[in-house]
Amino acid sequence: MQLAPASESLVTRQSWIVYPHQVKQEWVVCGQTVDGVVDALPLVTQESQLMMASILNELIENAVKYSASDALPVRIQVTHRPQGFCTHITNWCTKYQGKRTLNWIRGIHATPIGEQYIKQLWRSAVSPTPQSKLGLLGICHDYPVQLNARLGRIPVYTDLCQITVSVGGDWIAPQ
Amino acid sequence: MIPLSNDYLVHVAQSDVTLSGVFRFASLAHYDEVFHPIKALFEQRSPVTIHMHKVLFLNSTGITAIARLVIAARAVKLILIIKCSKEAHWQHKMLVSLCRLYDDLRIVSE
Repeated sequence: MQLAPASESLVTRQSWIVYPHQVKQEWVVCGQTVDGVVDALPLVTQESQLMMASILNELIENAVKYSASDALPVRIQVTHRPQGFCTHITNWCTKYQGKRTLNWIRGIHATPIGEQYIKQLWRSAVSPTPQSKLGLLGICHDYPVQLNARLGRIPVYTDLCQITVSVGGDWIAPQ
Repeated sequence: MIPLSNDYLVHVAQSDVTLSGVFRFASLAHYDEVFHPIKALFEQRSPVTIHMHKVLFLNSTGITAIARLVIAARAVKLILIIKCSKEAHWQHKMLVSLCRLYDDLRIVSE
């Protein structure tokens, strides 16, 4: 596994890179990446560590699953502010997938999250779908966080774009 | 640091199932394979208890896999008891959601 800090700010920001092919080759790399990131953050309580691990795990899994190419990097960035942390996961996806995810996240607050969560839990439990599609919903359902997404500048010469999914809010106090 | 190794255990003894460790498989197919012994136990049509106290981590795909077990129990009207740790809030929260899938699912927090 390659888990090298891409940059490290003395003040508030740390980044890591993982490649989808590393994770797809051996899924355990996803967990190892999460553990490495959580370990590097000044999270004191076990509860805050578990919360961060759960959120990162879902975001990285999603980024890897929906990456347009296994060779394009997934960037994990954690911003540490006095009131807590904010995570940003960026990956390359098709423009179609990017817009779809963006719209889905923008619309997530239209219906009560509990209702959406149960509906999706039921749907994925009774249908033979290969994916649960519960990850991002689960984050919003389980934790008092804000979920956002933005697309990077869309290049005209390719069908791909970068999408950044962010989870933040005053949610994980460092102490 | 929380002990998030990727070790897991599914132990079946008569009608008791103990899950422990970290469950972060990528797909429902993988979970279906790992949880197959539990589903096989449902064929006995006697109450089944799943002990989750020692589960440290379960990803969203794993939650769906547990939901599939709940639906399978419901299909054969089996009494399913899931015991969780009072200290692991995430377990209790997850199981409360699962209760909405099957009225006869019994949750014991201890």
